[in-house]
Amino acid sequence: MTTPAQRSERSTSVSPWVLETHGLKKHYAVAAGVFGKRATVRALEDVSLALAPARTLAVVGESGCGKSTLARQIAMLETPTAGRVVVAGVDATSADAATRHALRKDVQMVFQNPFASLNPRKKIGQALEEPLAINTALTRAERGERGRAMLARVGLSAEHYRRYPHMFSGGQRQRVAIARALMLEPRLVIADEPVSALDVSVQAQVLNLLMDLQESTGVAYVFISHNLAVVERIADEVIVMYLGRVMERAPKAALFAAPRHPYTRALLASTPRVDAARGEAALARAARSALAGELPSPLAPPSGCVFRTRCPYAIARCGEVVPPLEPAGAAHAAACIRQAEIG
Amino acid sequence: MNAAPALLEVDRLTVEFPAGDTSLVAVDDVSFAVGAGEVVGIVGESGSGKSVTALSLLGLVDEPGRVHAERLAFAGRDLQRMSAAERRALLGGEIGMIFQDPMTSLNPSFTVAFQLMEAIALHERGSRRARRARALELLKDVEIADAERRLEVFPHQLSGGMSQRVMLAMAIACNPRLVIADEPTTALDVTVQAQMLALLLRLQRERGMALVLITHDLGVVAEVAQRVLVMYAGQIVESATAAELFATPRHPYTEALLASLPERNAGNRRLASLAGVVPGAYDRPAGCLLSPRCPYVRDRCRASRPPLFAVGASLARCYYPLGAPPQP
Repeated sequence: MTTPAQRSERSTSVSPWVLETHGLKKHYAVAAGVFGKRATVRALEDVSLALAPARTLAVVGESGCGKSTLARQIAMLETPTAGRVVVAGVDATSADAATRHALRKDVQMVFQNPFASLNPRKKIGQALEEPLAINTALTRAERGERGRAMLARVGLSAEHYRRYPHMFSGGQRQRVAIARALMLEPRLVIADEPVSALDVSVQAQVLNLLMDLQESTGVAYVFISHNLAVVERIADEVIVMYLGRVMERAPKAALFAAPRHPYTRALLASTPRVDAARGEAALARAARSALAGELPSPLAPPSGCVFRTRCPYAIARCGEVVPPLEPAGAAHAAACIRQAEIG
Repeated sequence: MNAAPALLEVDRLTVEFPAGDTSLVAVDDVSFAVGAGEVVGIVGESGSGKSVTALSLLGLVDEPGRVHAERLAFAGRDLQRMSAAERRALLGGEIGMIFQDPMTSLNPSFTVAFQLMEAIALHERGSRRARRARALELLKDVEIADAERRLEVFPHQLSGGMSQRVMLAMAIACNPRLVIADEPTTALDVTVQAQMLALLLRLQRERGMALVLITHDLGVVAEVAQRVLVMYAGQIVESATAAELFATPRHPYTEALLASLPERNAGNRRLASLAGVVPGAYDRPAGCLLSPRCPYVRDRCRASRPPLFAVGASLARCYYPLGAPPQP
């Protein structure tokens, strides 16, 4: 797709990372109650990560864990409250407008709902060519050529080029959304729940496509998902988030074979599996993971460890200190003060 | 199945939606039975007809939809011969139901107590005080913490998981013998989903209710159901016990569904997947509905539609069932 020569035109970076974040924080001010007492939602607290080219970092967590807020910071759609986002060695948070504009071409997004993310009044071809028309000096004929080539790469046929989004199934639309995200040959694609709205047989097709495209283009993915079975398939590394904080960070194999954080264990135990026995197993499993209650309000997160109110291993000390991410093996870290004890 | 008459009997159910000079067949000749206290899962992808099947059992298919069946019966009573009033009395009484999205199923303008007491009042006599006590008891039954206080809140003050528990409390308010749950945990986070499934199973056992669980999630079905119906394009393509279905699928579609699960693909990075898409209203093939996508397709499959054949202890709609001799 992109030759090394083209790459060097765009950036002279020699960073081994496509993406780094350092101590990323995002707080939102909200009005609490009718009479507008201000309150702060701490949507993201101290998130640091690094991602190499052609690798996939999965961000896992339930509603309200901050995974989509993280996506918006990385995509430079919002300015973080504190911390830095570094894309291909260039600090996006302190960069001037022109640099940020250039960096945005390197970071593209694919969203969950392919029905909402394509303009219903534009033909697929127009949707694909638009990023080129805005960002490049290519002629109309060249844009059309690239658009058609991309359509073929995502497994759609040339006749689809002149059709409107409503003429496609969900899986086909997600293919179009992926094609559009790749038109500018980005270094990084942030995929926010890209297969959650799809049926399982179609989900498999789209996951395969994402993996094929990564092999041929070297694009890196930040893959946001709540589905651990999907993550186990596609990720190289995984971070598990809860209430805005990273609970655990590990290479995929280590995370699934030897999860360290009680929250990761609970997530794994809660995921329904076909291979499990029925009935008794479901009851036993719920008892074992024993996640009482639900997510606390992000307006008033618990002191110390944010997970402690639902953690089966919580002790008094968990309320006193915010547990740091401590090494638990090669490239493996967990934010739990009792991780060694609970083995 | 059971020697005792089934609690729910469905025989040759078809639901059509007229569209111009043709009609969309959403449910195509579906027959099954649910025994008392039995947990039956109905699995399928979008457009498989699983939700429309449930709605037609409840008498909730809107105009212009047309429901035909040889027989639809609950506890030996013919649902099609009942008056509208009798049928309504059955709903929320002996048959409870839960839908996917609790936020749209609860009325935002009334408190939890009001809505629960309303459900109780529809089918039970008793004083206001007695109904309130019953509502409180129900909230405790569905394991809502701090139930006394939750009675007085409005739906928007509840989380998704909590709202779904309230829906479940309403569904079981009149001690139903059958609960139909359409994707009851799909909108919930996994840790909350696990709590909800455990709760559903506990109540089902304690009360001896039959449960029809409609879902797209094979993992949920594997953990909850005793018997499973797999639907494709409006038809039942396989019917088997959960153990049989997941160990030895007989229909190529069931096999493909299982193969496309990420967890079934340990070792190889690429997932197995079925090419193509579910046929729509206008491109239903003449033969087997899976024939354009089936990896094992033969001429016979394209020529005529197979009926459900008995294969071992299962039923499969296939001339060439997996791991068994072809049908004559």
